[in-house]
Amino acid sequence: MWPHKREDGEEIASPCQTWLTAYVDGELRDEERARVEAWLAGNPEARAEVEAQQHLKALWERCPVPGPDALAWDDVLARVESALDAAATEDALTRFGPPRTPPRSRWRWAAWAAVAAAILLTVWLGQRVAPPDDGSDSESFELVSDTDVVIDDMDPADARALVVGRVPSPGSFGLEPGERLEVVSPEEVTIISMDGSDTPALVVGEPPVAGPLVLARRDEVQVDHMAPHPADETMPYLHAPEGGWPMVVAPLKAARKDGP
Amino acid sequence: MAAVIPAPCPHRPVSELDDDCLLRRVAEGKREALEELFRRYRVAAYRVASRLLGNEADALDAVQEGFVKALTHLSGFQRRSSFKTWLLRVVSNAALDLGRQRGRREAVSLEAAEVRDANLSLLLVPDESAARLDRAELRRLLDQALQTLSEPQRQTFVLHAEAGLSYREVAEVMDISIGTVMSRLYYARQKLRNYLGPRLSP
Repeated sequence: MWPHKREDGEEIASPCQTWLTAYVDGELRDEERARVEAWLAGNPEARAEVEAQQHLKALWERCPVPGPDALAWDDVLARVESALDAAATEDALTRFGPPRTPPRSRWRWAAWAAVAAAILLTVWLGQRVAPPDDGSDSESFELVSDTDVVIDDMDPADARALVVGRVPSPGSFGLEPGERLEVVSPEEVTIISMDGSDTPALVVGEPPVAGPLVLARRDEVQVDHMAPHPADETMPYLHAPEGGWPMVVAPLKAARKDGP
Repeated sequence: MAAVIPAPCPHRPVSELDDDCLLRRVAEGKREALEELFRRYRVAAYRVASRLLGNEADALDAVQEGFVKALTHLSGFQRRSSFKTWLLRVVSNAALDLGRQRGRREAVSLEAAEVRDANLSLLLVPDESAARLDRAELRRLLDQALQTLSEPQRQTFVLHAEAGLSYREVAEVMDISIGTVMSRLYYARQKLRNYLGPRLSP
């Protein structure tokens, strides 16, 4: 019997009632609409119901909510931006705020790490990567070029990883044993310039990881310093499957600690 | 399970980018992308919040909170639906929360409605009503009528009638079946008519 109530007390309309509502809202397919119209032709009571619903709908549409003025919109947008800036300092949108300055005490270690990373990358990537020319605090560091990286597949569990390299085949991506390598975290990369077409380029953290990837050009990225993540000491490392392209895998934050 | 990897965003003005590209740029700190996303959906978000809250100041607060929450909790956005539906889910929930916290203000008070009843009697015939009744008065009456609905009915009705969401989109936003959407809309209209009928008749 209609109407009836669900366990939570909510009333459930009959199929006829809901079909009439869907008819009024233009939510029926052509053949469904034709069936309803044929039924309405011989059912004045249902026709009256449809007209009443159409009247209410028209009444509603004649009285749209007036929008706020431009100043009010500007104010709301400014508040949204401000709140996002504040949130960025905590977590989600880390690059909304100004670039983070690395703590001074870490710079000497960072310089060492940059050299180590460059050497390891040089070993694995050959001529694609050049080591920094000295041990200064802010090293130039060249990542793989834009032709070196395509991610064809990626496990969602790995989405919060820094990936620089090519996934050789679906399913092979993962934190398999590989050579450890210190690589930058999102806050530690300064993108000096980047074309709009390179927007999904350097993959640093936030999912979803976009691809096929086009990395920033070598001269567009500078590493300010490198260090294991302070929260869990996770270390990025180089993943180089046999016959595949090497890549740098860097767990971000406490996403996972099951590296080698 | 493999993740779906979207295509790279084209190098175009932000107004020509799809939402997914805008979201990626917002995550990169591109303010013009945020402005475009805001411009694209602020009206729908505001209309929903305004109908649920009944006044501009609270509605703008809900819009602000909704945008911030939607953008800082993108991990909860599964991308099975559009960003618009994700945003409206957050905004409408924020509006309902805000309404519970603050209570609706006097804009929809019944006392004010009684004062206006004389004017409402002009609504004798539907076609005449729109022309003769002060639109702001009618809007306030509709706001009052909305308050006769249960919260789920109100949210369902507003998402459909104000934001223009399809049944499928409303179902996604509220995580309910399309059948439940249809049922709630039916009863919502019944209640609205029951409330408005005596006030819109001679």
